Amino acid sequence: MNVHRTRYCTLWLLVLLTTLSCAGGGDQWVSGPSPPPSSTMLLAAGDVGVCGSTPAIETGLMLDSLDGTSSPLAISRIATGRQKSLRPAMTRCGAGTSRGPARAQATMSTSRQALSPITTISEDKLDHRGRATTVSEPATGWSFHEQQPAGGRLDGARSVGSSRTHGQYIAMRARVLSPSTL
Amino acid sequence: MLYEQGVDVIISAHEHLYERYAPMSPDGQRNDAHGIRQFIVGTGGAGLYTVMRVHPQSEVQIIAHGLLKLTLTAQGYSWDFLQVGGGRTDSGADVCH
Repeated sequence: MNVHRTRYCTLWLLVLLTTLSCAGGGDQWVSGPSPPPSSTMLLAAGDVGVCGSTPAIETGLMLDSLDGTSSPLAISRIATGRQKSLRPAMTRCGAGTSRGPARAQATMSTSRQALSPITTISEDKLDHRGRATTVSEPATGWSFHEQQPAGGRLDGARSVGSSRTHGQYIAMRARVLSPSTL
Repeated sequence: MLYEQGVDVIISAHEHLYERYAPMSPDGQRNDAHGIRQFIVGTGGAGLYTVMRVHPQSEVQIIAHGLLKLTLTAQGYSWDFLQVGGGRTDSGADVCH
């Protein structure tokens, strides 16, 4: 079950992943030497808001506290053509706000472990005001970097990983960097 | 198109709240056999909205920040809305079409 479609928004991605898991069973979307997981855990929370705000930090900490999401061995770095420009912004944002988000971003930046591919995903244009640039990365996830008209910047990432407890999981993060944090 | 392709679940955000719908047909009517269940999870940290009008098929609305944990298996799925601070949650499970 390959997914080779462009111009999908985040919602389409989630729909497709859910459908793949439900309709296909594990062995149709996992390849490689590892046995297919019995289940897939998906964590979702959209509309993160302003980086550094208390609610954004709280949800970030909650995400980081769940099994697997903060393990260096379980999170795969998203590799994109924007990687060099994306990483400093995300790290600086996290480091300046709270330990939780900083740890998550740092983890995502330092680990690049080969994981069992789920599918190939291509996307562009997220549902957000302004211009969006999204790139695809087979198997390991994607990230995006968007310059907003007001001068802020929206950075986000999706990663795919695995943990002993939950098998494969998908973690999605998005955050807005206000001009003052850039 | 999603309905015709047998999609089970839609997850979206944009609206700053958590809301879970019953499985619905494209016309908005409940359809447990082939309908699509939607989760709105716009609870990542942005300012929360209030519920102005509840859709007839909306089963749960939670105005709080938190995460949706969706566990997918070959036969079905289960969900848990994990609220920041440990407040009200929403949990359940359903089978795929």
